[in-house]
Amino acid sequence: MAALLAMEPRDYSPAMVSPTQQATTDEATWIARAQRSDAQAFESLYRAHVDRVYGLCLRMTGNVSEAEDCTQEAFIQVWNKLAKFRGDSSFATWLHRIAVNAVLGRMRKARREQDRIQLATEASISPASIGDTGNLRDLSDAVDRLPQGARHVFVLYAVYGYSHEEAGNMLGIATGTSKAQLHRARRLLAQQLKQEGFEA
Amino acid sequence: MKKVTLVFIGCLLFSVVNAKDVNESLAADAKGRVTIFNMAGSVNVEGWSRKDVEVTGSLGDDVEEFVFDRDGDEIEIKVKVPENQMGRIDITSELTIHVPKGSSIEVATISAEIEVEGVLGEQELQSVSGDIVAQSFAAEVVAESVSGDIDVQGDGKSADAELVSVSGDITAENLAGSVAAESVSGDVVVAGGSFDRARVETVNGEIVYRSELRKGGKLNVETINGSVNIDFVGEVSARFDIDTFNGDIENCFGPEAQRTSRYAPGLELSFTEGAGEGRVAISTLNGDLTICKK
Amino acid sequence: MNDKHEDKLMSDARRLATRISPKRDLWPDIATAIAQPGRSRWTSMLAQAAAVILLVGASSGVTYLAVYDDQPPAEFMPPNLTFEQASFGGQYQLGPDFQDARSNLASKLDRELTRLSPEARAGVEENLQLIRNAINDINGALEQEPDNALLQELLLKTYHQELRVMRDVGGLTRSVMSRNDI
Repeated sequence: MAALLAMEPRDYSPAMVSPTQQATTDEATWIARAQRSDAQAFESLYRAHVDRVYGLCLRMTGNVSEAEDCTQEAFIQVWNKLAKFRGDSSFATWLHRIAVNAVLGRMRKARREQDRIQLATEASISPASIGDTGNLRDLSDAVDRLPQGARHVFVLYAVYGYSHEEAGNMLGIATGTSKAQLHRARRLLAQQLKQEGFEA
Repeated sequence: MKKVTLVFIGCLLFSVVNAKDVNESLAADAKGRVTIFNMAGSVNVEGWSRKDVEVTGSLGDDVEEFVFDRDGDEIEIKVKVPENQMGRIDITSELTIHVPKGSSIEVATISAEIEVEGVLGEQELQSVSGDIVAQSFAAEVVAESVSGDIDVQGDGKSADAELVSVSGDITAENLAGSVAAESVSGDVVVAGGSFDRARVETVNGEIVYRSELRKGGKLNVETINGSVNIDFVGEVSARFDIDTFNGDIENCFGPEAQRTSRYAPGLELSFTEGAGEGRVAISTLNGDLTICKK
Repeated sequence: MNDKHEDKLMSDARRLATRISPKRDLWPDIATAIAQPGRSRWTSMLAQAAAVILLVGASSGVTYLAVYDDQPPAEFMPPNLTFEQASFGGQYQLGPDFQDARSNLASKLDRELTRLSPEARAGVEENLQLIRNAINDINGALEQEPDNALLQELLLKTYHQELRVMRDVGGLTRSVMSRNDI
């Protein structure tokens, strides 16, 4: 995970870039305080993680206002469930799990609706590419256009570096399904990018 | 001449003695409006080809007033009881009302049952505890009751039907176009129809849909605890989205339900049948679902 | 498939930004939501449902709910379901606007129910109890699965059913009874 973070060309987060010893201790303190309802400590946690959560939501939903809502919901859920966080997984992972759950919940809801005009119009702009430049923008756009299942797995596995088992856990699908979805994503992306004259 | 007068007076006396019987008629518009109120007993409305409204039947003891008035194209029929006697179910009046078949009608009762036949115009039928039986043609039917059952038979022509009850059962047969049927604990059966829009909701009642879903049609079914049995008549071309929290899903169309999440109960099933032109959305908390095609 | 091509794909994927700053500061809304002791405002998941309209009738001052499945709402107010932290787990309640509408309907209903026969009244109360049991069941399930969209949708629908019964019974009784008054 640390290696992936170090490879990022751009870091939009005002907070730490990579987890240092000090930062980890700080985080543990904030968590402990937030668990005792210290909102300021929770804000520190928020500031430290919001960009990654928002990035995750944005790439998974492909829609700015959905991603904003999903981010807020995720943090509110975290606040409510903080007492249940035991520190056996990393806080970031736990947080992302909740965020993914929030995204899935929204998508399930959206599927059932009859009038999805709002979502349809908002999705017409590709917002995730905001974070990327050049060739990466093409890739980012292409990821946004993947079908839902493939996109979710691709974002978690290929962009955020989770394993198939972890991604499967978060998405509520089997590890094998995650692998199949990744395979599909890669095939579709390769096709899409080739069509756009992407140089190998 | 004298003889005739005597006979005439004799007739009048005779009718005064039987004051509780009703036999009156008024000329009416072919497509006018008739509003009817009767507290208890029965209201039987029949459409006919005459341009009159005729009321026959009997009024209960203690009926304060029987109103039968015309105002332009509207005719009002009302059985009034003293205010403090409202709710006394023994003050029953049995009314048979013939109306021009093109009329639109509005009927309200407390416990009187309502039965309507052969009325082609719009119908608004309300009862607190009386059963409602009606025939639907090409005009809108709205039937509402608290505990009465609702039974509407159509002729397959398109119209809107809105059928709402709290504990009464709802049966809608051979309707077409759009139907909305809601009950809390009553069962709902929508059979033999053909719909562009159908919405069925219950809390505890069972739901049976045994009708056609037209091309591009939308079917919405929601229940908390009721079971849902869907048997499409004819071909179906729709996207299906089905969710249940604790219930089972049996799907004749092939695809099997998936667990919504590894860690919690809940089954979901999304698939497309045919060209996917329509939409079928079913949600339940505890109900079991069966979706099939005849 | 060109393997080299795919390797590049995957390494490019890893270079996609994983941190993206939201355009606006999302913290204030979150702070508000968590600030109220034991209360959390459930924001737009349900607000975007666009399935419920709350209208105030001009003439009678009656507040009622209508559900439109496929017609775009003339005026839209998000249905505002708030998450209350009860002593054992959580409960979803209708938000303050809805609570007001509900109390309004409940008191009208009480008045109308007195005009019904004891059997009719008992029947209505029984069914309202059925609905409230359903609400409790759904809340129980939501306690374990607060993010479950199906449960949230069913809960909102069941609240709507309760309000519909109160409105319909009160309204029906009133309108039927009123024909006797004139």
